[in-house]
Amino acid sequence: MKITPRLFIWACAVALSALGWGGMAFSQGNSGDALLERLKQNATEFRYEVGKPGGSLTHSTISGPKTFNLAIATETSSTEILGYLFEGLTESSWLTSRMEGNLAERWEASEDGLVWTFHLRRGVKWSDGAPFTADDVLFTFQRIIYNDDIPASARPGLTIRYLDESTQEWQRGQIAIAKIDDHAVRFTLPVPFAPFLRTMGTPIYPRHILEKHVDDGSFTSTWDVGTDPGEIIGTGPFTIARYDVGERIVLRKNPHYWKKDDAGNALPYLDQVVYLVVQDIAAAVLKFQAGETDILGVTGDQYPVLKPEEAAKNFTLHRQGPNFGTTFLAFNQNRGKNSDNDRAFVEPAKLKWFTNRDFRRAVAHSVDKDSIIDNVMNGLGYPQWAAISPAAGPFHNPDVTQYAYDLKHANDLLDGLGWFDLDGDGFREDDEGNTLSFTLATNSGNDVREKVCTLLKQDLAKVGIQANTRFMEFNSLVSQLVSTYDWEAIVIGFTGGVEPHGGINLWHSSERLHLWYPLQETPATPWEAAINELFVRGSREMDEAKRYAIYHEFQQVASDNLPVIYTALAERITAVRNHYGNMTPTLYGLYDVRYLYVR
Amino acid sequence: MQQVESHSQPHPAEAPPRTASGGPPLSRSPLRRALFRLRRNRLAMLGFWALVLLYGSALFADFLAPYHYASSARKKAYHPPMITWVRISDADGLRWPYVTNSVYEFDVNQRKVYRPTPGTAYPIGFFVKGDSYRLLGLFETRVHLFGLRGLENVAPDDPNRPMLFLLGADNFGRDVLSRLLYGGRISLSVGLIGVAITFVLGMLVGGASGYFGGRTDIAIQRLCEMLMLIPGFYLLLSLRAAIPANWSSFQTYVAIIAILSFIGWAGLARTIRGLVLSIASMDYVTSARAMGVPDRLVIVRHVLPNTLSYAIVSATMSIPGYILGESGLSLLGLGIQDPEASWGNMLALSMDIAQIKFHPWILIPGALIFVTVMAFNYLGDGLRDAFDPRGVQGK
Repeated sequence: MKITPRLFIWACAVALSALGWGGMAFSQGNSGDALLERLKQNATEFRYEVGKPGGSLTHSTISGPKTFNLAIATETSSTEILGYLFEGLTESSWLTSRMEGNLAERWEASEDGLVWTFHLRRGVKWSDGAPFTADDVLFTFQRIIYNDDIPASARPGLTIRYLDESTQEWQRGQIAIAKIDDHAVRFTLPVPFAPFLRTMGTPIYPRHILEKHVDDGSFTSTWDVGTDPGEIIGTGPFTIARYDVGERIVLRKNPHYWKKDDAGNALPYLDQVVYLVVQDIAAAVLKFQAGETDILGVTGDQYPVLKPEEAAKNFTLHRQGPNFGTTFLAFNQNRGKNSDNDRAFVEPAKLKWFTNRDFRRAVAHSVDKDSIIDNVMNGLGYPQWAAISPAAGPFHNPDVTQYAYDLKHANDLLDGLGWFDLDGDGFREDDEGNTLSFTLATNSGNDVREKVCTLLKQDLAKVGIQANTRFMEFNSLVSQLVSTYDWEAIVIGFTGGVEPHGGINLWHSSERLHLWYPLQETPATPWEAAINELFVRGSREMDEAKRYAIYHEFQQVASDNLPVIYTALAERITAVRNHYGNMTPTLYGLYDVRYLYVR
Repeated sequence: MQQVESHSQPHPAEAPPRTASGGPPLSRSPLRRALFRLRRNRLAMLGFWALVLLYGSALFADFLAPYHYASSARKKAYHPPMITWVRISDADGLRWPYVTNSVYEFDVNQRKVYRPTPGTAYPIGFFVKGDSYRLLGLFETRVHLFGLRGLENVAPDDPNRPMLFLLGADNFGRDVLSRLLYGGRISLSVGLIGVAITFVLGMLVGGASGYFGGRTDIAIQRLCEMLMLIPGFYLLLSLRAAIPANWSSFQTYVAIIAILSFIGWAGLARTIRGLVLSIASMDYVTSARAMGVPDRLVIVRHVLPNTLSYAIVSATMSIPGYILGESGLSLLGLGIQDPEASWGNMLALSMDIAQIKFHPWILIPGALIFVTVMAFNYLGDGLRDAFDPRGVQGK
């Protein structure tokens, strides 16, 4: 599985709920660190073996692709499949997460970090046999990603935000690209941009196929799922052989693929990769147990079911450390009004509680992370305090402010605000006599989030706060978050990645996904302003150690002000059959599908 | 019931009953004869007493249950049933039955395993003090039928406090037995109240439709058909979606009953209409009309009572539908919301095969739903046989 630089994509949050993920025993304390050490060691000791061609790998998936057009796809059910077909100039190593050359063989940067020259690999062919050249790269950036008529999912990540020194105004800049020759391109940045190499992992599309569709404006409807899969042309190791909607997707080895193993054999080794579409997670587990699939994401609940069967059914459960995906509680702090009916998005009384830091601290002290880990994740999870997961390595700040589960302290904080239960109904009233009561929503069908809500509701009742849980359909929940803004409190999750800059979508106050108060013209609070600045500084800092410090500071500010209250991180667990070679669990993956072979 | 007796004579269905050997004496009234036959039906009486037991225990749930439905010890999630944990002896010999406290650890397969804590002993006592409640809504008390003693030094919010889980604990460490008893209140009453509403609606609308005939009949019947056209469960789901999130659990409960009744009445109204059509042509109805009795009275006093025997049987048989409807909604998370208990939302835990495999006691609510539905069916069957000696009426 290739790890592509994933940004905060909404759909990924669904995928997190739909696909299996587990964790490791928090109660086992130090073994968590031991596991991380072992995963790092796996990565350093791993060497590719020369494999043999043939065989297949069968996955299960809850939902098939919704489109074959990767440029505009946002849901992981599509991007995961299409990831086999398209490649970027660089790629993230599944062993170290370092950026390595893919379609680009090598590159050099100017002293100031503004001009980057990429030398493209020679001899690369599209899966229809046409040669890959610099024109394809230019086409991808100029005609697709930076085309305002196309809602390209890569555009936000390739838009650089910077403060114009002369006007003191925030600017959004694009990366300029120029062709040097058929096998070299030059990128010019407006300001230094640390995540640049990672963003160069963005997939490159075939100009000779797609240019006419961009020209006649039909690009967004090109390559929908109705298209003959043979017409989807990429440089990747696989092509789509067939797609039976609701049944299966069969990916076949690309005979034109450029990469060779150390002995000069063509890659990939596998003949095909198959995705079986299944009804739900339970069906996915049954298919795996029955031997119909070879690989399965496992949740903490399923771990004890599968563990005793490892030897008999010839598979291994690989534990891969904490997930990047987070689960958190957020309060709506939107101070705006609905322009249609002039009603505040949040009732003024509630807004007063939600924007009160002591109120949020009291709530944070009411989150029983141990119970969430032991009862919801079956002991396979980590408490999360910092905004960046420990999986991100040195970017993670282990020393942020922690809010221990302490209902007495929570009660004291609320007492300190002068909000007491005066009418004897068990819930506190604020200064104006409004009962502290709000709706706590999450998407239905996500077991972890629903249980977190129920636990929270119980604990909040003990500190005199009434939370009414509401489990809604995911899309209506998202529409509340990003368009109607009429929610009160929510438990939701975001995916993350190694590169912390991906979090700018959530953390920058001008962003659409700045959940608690999106699209602000100027930051409403000093700490939001501070976070904005840290993110921009972090993206411009080229020195790794200094970047770590910047993001550590950001996590400290976030934990002090608690716009989001984190719960627990589940561990990633994958069950795979034992007969595959070139596979080892690391922090960032399990294998490179091109080198995977059947022993 | 008076009406049944006084007007059933002319009805052909009530013509001289079978006089099998040991049959009811002919001198008794039809109702008494029916009850007599019912009492002789063993299955029906079994169902009846099972229901008395279930409804009785639901009525006194707060006294019978050792804990409140929301009372939990979080570190006791999925604690296995303690029936086999009760000890009656220790090193010193025989003792009053007691249980020990326990703590969990994860085994090599990451399964939670509970081990007794040595040296702890909590005797099971009767009439012990626990969570406070209002018995029958009248007076406040803390006395429960049974529970653990010796908890004086245990903090009530200790996440690992000793609790008595005779039938095991659920995923939040709450007593399944207590939740079953409390859940019975909701699951069982939904059927009764729902059926009551449906029957008043169905009989009035169906009665009017059959009696008046003509345009009224056509209008009402088309309305019924429109309601019946929509697949029941989807109608249920869409109506449920209209309930605001911030309603209290009691409001939701009432709303669910209203929704279930709303979906159920059309079918009944149609059957009642058919019955009424035939009854309305009877001589005694014609004579009542000829004597100038107002329509309203004719329907209520002369026509509807003759559909009662069918209605009672049909009501009994349709109660399970309401119970299953509520369970279905709650199973999908749309009915009674946690922490309130209903058999349906308790059963939602067992939607995960892994959980059933390791914690089979979470299926108990399903068994109770099964028992209740069977009991109603047996009783309903018995009632039909009893009211319907020749098997012509009402089906």
